[in-house]
Amino acid sequence: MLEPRKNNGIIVYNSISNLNPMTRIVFILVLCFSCLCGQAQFSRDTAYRQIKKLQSEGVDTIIRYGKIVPMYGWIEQSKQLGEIVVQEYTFVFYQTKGETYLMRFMTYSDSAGIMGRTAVSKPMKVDAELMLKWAADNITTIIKQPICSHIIKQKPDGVNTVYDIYYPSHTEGINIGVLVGKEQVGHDFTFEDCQYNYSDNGPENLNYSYNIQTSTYKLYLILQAITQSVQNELKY
Amino acid sequence: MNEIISLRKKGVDTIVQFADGCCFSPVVYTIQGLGEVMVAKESYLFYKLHGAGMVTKCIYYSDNKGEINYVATLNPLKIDCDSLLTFASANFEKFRNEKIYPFIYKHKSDGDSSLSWLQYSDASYFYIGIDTKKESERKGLDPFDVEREKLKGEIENLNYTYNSSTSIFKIYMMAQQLIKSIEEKFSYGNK
Repeated sequence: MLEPRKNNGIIVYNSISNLNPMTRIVFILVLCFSCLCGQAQFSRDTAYRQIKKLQSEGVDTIIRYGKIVPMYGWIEQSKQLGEIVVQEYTFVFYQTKGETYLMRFMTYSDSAGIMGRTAVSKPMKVDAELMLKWAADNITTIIKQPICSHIIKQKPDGVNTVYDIYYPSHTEGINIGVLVGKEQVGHDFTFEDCQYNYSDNGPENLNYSYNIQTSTYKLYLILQAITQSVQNELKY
Repeated sequence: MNEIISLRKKGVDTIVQFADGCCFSPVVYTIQGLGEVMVAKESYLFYKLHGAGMVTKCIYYSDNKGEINYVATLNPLKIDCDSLLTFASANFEKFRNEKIYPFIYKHKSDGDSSLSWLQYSDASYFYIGIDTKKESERKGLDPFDVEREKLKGEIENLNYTYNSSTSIFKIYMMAQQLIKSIEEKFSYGNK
């Protein structure tokens, strides 16, 4: 049976049971978002529960933005938590009673090196009303425009052209979800998918031009900018 | 792999291995003398011993609780596999430097064009190995990646021409043909 899922184009079919080694590497990152292990998916699961709660309270538009680096992480100097290494973040933006809020869920290693610590920030007021409105207005386009894989062209035998997926195991995985009323969309992609090439002389990412003009990519840039500007102000 | 080491000790030069890798979805078999077991992988070894072409089948299985893993090696059968072994030996370097590329196709939507990657949920996955006296090499192959098109020709595999020209694919096809001809002769019960 063909089981379509929305990713890397309009039709993609997935199953971990049949993956060739390259594909399997790719799939591992997707799994990291969904089912790798209890600790790693904490931020996404907890964010999911929070989103359900917000929806039950009548919140109409919600944006979820997650990022993860398998086996690595981001070093962060936190006023409350000290120096930590964050493995996974999930940010949730929503609007209620005329105000826009941001919450952050994360899985991290603490300053003593203890892994699997988790934290949820208190809701923080942010100026993101325009972004939520833009996402709500453009959800149809966002649904139609996922970010496609970083695909490069090669001539392995000097004669035939082949197309391959570039996917380093340590690349940053990104997940963006937009929920507007009963409509919702989620796109998984990687940092490398949005790059022109992976090194100065590396071959061109054939999906680069397409990816950077998608609504999903535009939303990603806004999410990056907002979350970076407030990350040191979040309280736990 | 113990079977390959054992064949080496018997003086076998070149071995071609063909295995399916259904380890994520074991199949329940009833095997004579063993009862119901869960088979994770089946592997065929093609080789020449004392001038005669042979094939051995190995079944990787676990007990019905999935707790203990075993390998059953069936009695080898005679088979004319000269062309497979000759091709594998002659193309060892080519085989080593090749890989099968994923099913990539052009996708068009609302005037936009992008390249997408198509995966299939139920395709089997195969491993092909060549063991010569000095070296060994293993490669994987998803039959889906060597298909020319999908969805009644709506999407075309841009990697088909290269993938179908590889020695990996040719060995896969030759081994499959040979297996078809002898599979029924391996007697170990009912699937």
